[in-house]
Amino acid sequence: MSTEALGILLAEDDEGHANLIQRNLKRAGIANEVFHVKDGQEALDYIRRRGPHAGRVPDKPLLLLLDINMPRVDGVEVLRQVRADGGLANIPVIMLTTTDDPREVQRCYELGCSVYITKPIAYEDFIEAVKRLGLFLAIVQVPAEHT
Amino acid sequence: MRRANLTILKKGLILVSVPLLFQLVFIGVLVWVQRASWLLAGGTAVSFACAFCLALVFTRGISGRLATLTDNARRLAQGQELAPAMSGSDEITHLDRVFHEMAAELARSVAALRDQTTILQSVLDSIGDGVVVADEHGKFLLFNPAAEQILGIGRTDAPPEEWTQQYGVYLPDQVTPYPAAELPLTRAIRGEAVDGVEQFIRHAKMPDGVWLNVSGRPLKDKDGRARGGVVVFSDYTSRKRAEQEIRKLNDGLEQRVAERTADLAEANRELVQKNRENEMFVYSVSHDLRSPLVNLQGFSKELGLVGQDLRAMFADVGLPEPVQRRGLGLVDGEMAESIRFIQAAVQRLSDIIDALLRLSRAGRVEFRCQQVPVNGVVARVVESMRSTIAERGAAVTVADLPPAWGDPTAVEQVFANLVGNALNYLDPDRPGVIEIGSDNAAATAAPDGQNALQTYYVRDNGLGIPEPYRPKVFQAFQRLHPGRAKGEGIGLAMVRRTVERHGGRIWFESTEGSGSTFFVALPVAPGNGSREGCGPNGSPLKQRREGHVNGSAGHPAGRG
Repeated sequence: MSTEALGILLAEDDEGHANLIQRNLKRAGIANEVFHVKDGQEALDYIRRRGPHAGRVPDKPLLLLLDINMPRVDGVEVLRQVRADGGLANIPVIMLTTTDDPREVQRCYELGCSVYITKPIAYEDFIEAVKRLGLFLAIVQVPAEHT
Repeated sequence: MRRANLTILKKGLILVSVPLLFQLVFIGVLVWVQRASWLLAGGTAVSFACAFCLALVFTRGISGRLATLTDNARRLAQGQELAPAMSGSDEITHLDRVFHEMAAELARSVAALRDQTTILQSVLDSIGDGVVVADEHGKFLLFNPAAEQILGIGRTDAPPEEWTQQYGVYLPDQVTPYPAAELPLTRAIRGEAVDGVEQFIRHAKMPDGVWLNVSGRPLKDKDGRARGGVVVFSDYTSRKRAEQEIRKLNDGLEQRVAERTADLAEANRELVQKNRENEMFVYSVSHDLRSPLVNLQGFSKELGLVGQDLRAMFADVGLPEPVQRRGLGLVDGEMAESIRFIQAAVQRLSDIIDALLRLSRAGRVEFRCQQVPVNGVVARVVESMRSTIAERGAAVTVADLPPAWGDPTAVEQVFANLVGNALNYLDPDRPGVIEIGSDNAAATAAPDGQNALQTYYVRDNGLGIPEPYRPKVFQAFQRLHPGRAKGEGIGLAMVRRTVERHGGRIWFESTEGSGSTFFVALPVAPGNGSREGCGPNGSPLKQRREGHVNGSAGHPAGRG
């Protein structure tokens, strides 16, 4: 397999959701490394290599999968901070949430999210979005475990 | 009187006797000069004596009657009865008769005058209004008992400039002494007519004071010269107090109305707040439910996929036939069935939660109100249902529909729901007929001076709504014919919420077995100061009261 050029940071407080997302990514043939954090604060620490992630070596570009409702710092705040940070402004961000409130959706797009996907996930759409975003970031394709 | 008589008698005697004396002296001189005969002298003496007697008698007759006349004049002056009328026909008798006539005339006049005075006096004594008359110098000529009773002080010798202080007269502010020059009686004396002047009277004898209503007129003599003034006044303290009481009550009433209004506004704010909280609650609960549901949904799908893997494994050759059969039986049978049930239940739960979210959003979504061409909106709705209409073989007629004021999307949803319901609940036993129209007469009837509403209707000849179900028509999750159409039973609940937020009303008439008519009244123009929704009534409280949804009461079922 080729080098994993894109790392996926998944911020999701619900273990089940995180598990399902990872299974579906894998099943869709996306073999990129997925790093799972439990809330927005940890996501920011990971991105900025602070706190528990201070020693992380930034070896690849990141794609963010953010849940909105999370303890401490929510997904929208992570998105806002990332977009406000000049060095991080280009990171692709997929908002992934149970909220389909049009205002919430609009707010996320205004803040600069790349894709907004409503759970329960139509995983096909989700995979499609991840792939599209990762196309130019050299997503590594692996054979699907299931069709 | 006797002395007078004697005087007259003496005067009469002198009058008679003096000429006689002169005659006697003259005769004596004649006798002395001409030495007339004693006979002549004797005759003269006799005639003298006769003349004297005659004079005496005559004098006595005249002077007696004159005395009677004099006496009568005195009696007349003193109001006594006159002496009987004289008899005869001479001048004195005539004079006496005229005198008697005059006396009688005078007596009649005096009696009439006395009667009149008595009447006037009793009137002045008995009326409740105070009457005070003063001459041009301010001296009281009349001060009736009512005046004294009302003022608490009677007639005094005080000059006009002291009346204010003397009688304790104040301006209506009850503290400023009444300007003396402006007192109604003073003005009347000056020649002015005064009407309805309000005065307050308070002094030591009447510490609580009384209110007067005073009118005055100048008194003029027959030549038009001012000779004083008259005032008439009444005590209207009780009326004044009643007025003050009424004013106080009115003020109290206004105060209470203001308080009540404030209470209602507060209650309204609370309701709005509560409503918002409720919707937020529904919203957050729905989301909280959704999160585990995502797991159920996702992992049941995973189980299905695992089942497929297992199936592939069991189908693989190399396993003992009984194991393979048993394995495939479990995977395709019980396991697949369980997963199907789980997924069906999850899907149902998911639909309900989605419906709840839509419902809560119907109460939260912001309307962008404008003139809505209902004609176009309904045409789009009907067009979008073209295939269903054809499928059901229904005839849909749309009348010309006037525009409304509202959110175009929301209005479209309302009509889509109503027309969709009409289509869904047609009676399969007869050709379906659906009419969409407007009730023009209702546009002018604006309740409570609010903005006018335009009433539209969607009428069908479908199954109709049974009586027991009618109160529940607009409640969420109520489905009358669960098998006939998909949905969670929130359509009409959302429609009601939407219509009410527009400041409109929705109600229906229905006869089971012959069809239903749903009426929607929407505003025709922007409301005033509406914050929530965009109807004429800004407050949900008002909406609730005036836009009350009424299923059956007040709208008799059946269209005949």
